[in-house]
Amino acid sequence: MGSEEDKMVRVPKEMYEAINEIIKRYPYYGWKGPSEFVRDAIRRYVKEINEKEVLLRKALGYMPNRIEEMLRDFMGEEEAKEVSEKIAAINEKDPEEYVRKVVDILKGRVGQNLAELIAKRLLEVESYEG
Amino acid sequence: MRVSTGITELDGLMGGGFLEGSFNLLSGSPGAGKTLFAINYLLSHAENGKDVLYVSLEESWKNIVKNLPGGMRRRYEKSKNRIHYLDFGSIRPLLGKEILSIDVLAETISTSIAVHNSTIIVLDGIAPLVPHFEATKELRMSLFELSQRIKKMGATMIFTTERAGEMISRCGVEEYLADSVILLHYDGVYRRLQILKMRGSEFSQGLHGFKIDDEGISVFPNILPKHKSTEIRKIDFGIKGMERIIGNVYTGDIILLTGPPGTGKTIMAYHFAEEALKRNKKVLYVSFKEGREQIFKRAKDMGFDMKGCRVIHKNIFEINPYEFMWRIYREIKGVSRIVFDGIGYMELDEDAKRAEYTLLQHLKNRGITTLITHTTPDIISSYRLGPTGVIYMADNIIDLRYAEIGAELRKVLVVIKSRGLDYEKGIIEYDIGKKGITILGKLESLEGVISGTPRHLEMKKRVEKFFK
Repeated sequence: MGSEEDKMVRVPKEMYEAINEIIKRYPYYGWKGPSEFVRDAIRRYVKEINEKEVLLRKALGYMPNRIEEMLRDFMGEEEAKEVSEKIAAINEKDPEEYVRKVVDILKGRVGQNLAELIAKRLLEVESYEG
Repeated sequence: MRVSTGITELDGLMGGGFLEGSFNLLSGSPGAGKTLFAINYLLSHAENGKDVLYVSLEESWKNIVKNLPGGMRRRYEKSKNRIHYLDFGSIRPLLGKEILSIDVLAETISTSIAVHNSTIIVLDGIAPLVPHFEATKELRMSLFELSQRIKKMGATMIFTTERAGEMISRCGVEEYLADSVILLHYDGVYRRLQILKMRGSEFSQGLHGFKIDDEGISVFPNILPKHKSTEIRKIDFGIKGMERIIGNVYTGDIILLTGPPGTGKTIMAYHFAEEALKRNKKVLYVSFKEGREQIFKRAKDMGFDMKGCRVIHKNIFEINPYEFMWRIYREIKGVSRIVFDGIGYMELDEDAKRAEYTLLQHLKNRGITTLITHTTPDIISSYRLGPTGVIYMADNIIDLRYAEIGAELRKVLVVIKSRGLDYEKGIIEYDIGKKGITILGKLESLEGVISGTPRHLEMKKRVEKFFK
């Protein structure tokens, strides 16, 4: 049952009917009604977003080392180290902005296309592996 | 402006080297030496203080450095600060095939050129690019785009490709985009290099020799530098009475001594060499049979002093024709006589024939008198005088033979060819003694000497008279 602190959210009629349909089809989940279903869905989604955020931050933390590792074979130890040190010195909390700065540093060495490709793939791999 | 290929001799064949800001194709079968050739190009410029860039699409740079011959690796270590590389093969497993798009490649290479201010570039092995294009037309367009971007930056690039069968390049389009095309041939024994195209200038055609050694690449052109002809002077052969037999001998003459083993060809060569040494002239003795010490000892045992001779010993079966030609060329400064001792009977390929002709022609022009000894395989009655090219070039051909006279195997010589008309047409008997060769005289009372079994003319006349 709802309390006074609870807030109302609107869902379209079709969605409401779809929720009821799922509750009926999968009774073993134990949802007592549409409200409980929506609360459960929101909880799960928020958890997923938080987990992704943790992985992304972890990936960003690894980035200087992973880039140095990759560039070492690609263009040599010294150059890789130089690039990685510049990346390690980025002071940026916002992940999107951080990646933009990484790409900026990389593009000065390998061009825009390859820089974007490296950053994108490293994030994908780290998120997946993480 | 020209950019050196890294090999002085090759630059000379290409009008000074690659055109500055050009796209140059290096093609060859696997193992022909494309990568080492390309690395040699980079090393030579890095050694001259230039920043250079190596781009690999396949083999890892680490592997390439690891597999360099010792001398080349040492050269690399000394100048590695100026050698930059982009090893696309190393990031391909992580980044996928997207990195091999011409856009990514061209942009990455251009960025690196700008960062390092490198204008000397190698793109090694374009084979991984090929599967990305459905039609060769697309590959051609992409390579064209790449070449334009590289040229625009003022870079002089070598790109390597593997030959497919008799085609010049793998896809048959690369050569159309290139400003110059160099083809490397390797048959498992000899290496040959051929310049097929050189935009905007003359180049030396045909196959040239090349060698990969510890220090890098050496090229041996199929031509020798031109020298002014020298004044022709009369000289002594070195055997008493020989001039009366073969006619006058002049500087620059080529003398061929041909005959079976044991007829004294090498001893005649000692006489020929010692004659010049006595006059403080330089002599080069090239032996295909014996080493320096054996030659000196054998000569000394017969009373010759050959110590002043410069000796080269070569196994005739291991000779790379153009390399050998250049070896001799580098040794003949100031030399007045040269001996090639022990040319055997063997079939020569086109390159060997060309090298032989070019070298003999060069020696002749420079006024260096040449003596060649050729061993015929048959002991008696042989008519194999020697390699056709030598016979053609020789001014004097002296045929040494055995003749069975009075139950003895004696030695005779006959002049087959002489430059002038004033030479002995008869058959001359000679002997080999403790002091070398002694001319004994003409065998006037015999006929059939050349067949190895002479008959007395007097006896013949008597038999003829009897039957009449």
